[in-house]
Amino acid sequence: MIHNRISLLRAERGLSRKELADAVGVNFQTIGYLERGDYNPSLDLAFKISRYFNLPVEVIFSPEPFPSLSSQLRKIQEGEQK
Amino acid sequence: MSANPKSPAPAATPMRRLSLFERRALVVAMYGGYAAYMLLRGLAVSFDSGALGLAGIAALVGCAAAAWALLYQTPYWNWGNAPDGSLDERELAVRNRSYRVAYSAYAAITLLPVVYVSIAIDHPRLWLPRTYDEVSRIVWAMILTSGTLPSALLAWDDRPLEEDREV
Repeated sequence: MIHNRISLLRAERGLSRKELADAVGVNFQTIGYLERGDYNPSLDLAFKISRYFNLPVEVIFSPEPFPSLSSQLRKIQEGEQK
Repeated sequence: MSANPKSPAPAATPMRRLSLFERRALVVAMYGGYAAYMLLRGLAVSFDSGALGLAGIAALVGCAAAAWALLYQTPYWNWGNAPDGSLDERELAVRNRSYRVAYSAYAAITLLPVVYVSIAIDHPRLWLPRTYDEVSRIVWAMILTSGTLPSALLAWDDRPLEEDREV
């Protein structure tokens, strides 16, 4: 299974599923399937999504689960305090 | 497999949405209706009964109505038959899977009458299709199955979650 941060990035940028779907050329339900991890994208679609968000593909997709946002923020905060 | 850069066709027209229960009931009604027609038509001819003939026609109308309700302006007919370019990569993958299952099921369904005929031909007590009417009912059953099975499988299995709205 390929984990992804699509829903996080979509929420951050205030995008609807339809807007993202239209931008990368898929049905909006496919975005829902991707977000739930029910469908693994092709390389072509993964690169289209990463290009759309202007981020490296490995920032959006990973074979390992992504750490939670709160744990990442805590780590950053601890780093700043040191 | 590449995603179509254009907006996919299924999203372009508003589609009727059916619940999983409704879709499955319509699939059963469609194929069950035709099976009932075949049986009732055979009995009507055997017993020379007008009432059974009418009941057979009613079953055929039920089969057509169920097919219409299942496939007209729902995503499934388009999904099952649209050109590849109008579907995205996930829809194509799901459709390819349903084609694979439909092909296996259709091959099995087609093989059953062949096996039956090869057995029945040596046993005079067993029924065999002999008239044009009997053969045409079987041929139409095969045409109905081959034309609708991929879309019926998609309708039977598709489970879009309620949260899958456009927002």
